[in-house]
Amino acid sequence: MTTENKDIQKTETKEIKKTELTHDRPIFTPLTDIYEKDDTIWVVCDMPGVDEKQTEISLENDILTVTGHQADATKEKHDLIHHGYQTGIYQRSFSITNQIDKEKIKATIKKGVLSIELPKAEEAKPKKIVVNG
Amino acid sequence: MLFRDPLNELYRLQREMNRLFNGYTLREEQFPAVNVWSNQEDVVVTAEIPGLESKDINLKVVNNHLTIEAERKADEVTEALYHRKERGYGEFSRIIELPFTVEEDKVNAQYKNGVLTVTLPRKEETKPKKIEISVE
Repeated sequence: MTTENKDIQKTETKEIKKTELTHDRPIFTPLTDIYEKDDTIWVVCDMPGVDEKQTEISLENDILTVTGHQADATKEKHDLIHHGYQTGIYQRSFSITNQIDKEKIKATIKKGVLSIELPKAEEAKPKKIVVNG
Repeated sequence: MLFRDPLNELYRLQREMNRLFNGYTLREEQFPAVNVWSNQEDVVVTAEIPGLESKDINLKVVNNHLTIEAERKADEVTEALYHRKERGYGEFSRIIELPFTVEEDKVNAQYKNGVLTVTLPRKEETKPKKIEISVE
């Protein structure tokens, strides 16, 4: 007799654990470009109003988390007569695989644009295989 | 089913109500988003536009209109494989109506950390004058 073959389905983890910040400011997701060039992965985030002192980058369990606190934009001697945008905290997380050399991660922020350089680890770089004749 | 975010609806309603009471309105949904602050002395316009060169930002002031014009250039990246591309680039221009006429020569603009702040002093003649009341 044949037995039914049931494919073992892998179910995706639907639950995303979200760590809440202990601030009451709104949290924004910065627009990000991610590209790969010359054995390096670049993560570039738009975070206007944030300088290097207000930027935190942490790497934990292969998750890279970027947080940027925008400078407080309220003006004491003026009334806000048109409110086009809010200021708050930028935050975004990315999962980094073992392909990245974690010791060599570098980041700079200039003009409100954060650039993170993630060099690939030696083992992950494509190796040229010499063919002997 | 498409649910409208209730908070967004509330904000929109609040803005509409503010407009009715203030009498000062700007057309919505233009780039870049701006905040406008004012008092009796001057008006301050702020906008979030990261990644620009200060010299590439063009500001023009005519009477009570401020024009902000610039081009955000794409990063010069060649031979790269993009996994994600969300950041925008290109030219933009926005004309912002100010609540009063300003002194064109005394406009001050700063661009720091990707935030443009333009301070425009009010034209002297338009400042409210205090009227003395003499008591008999």
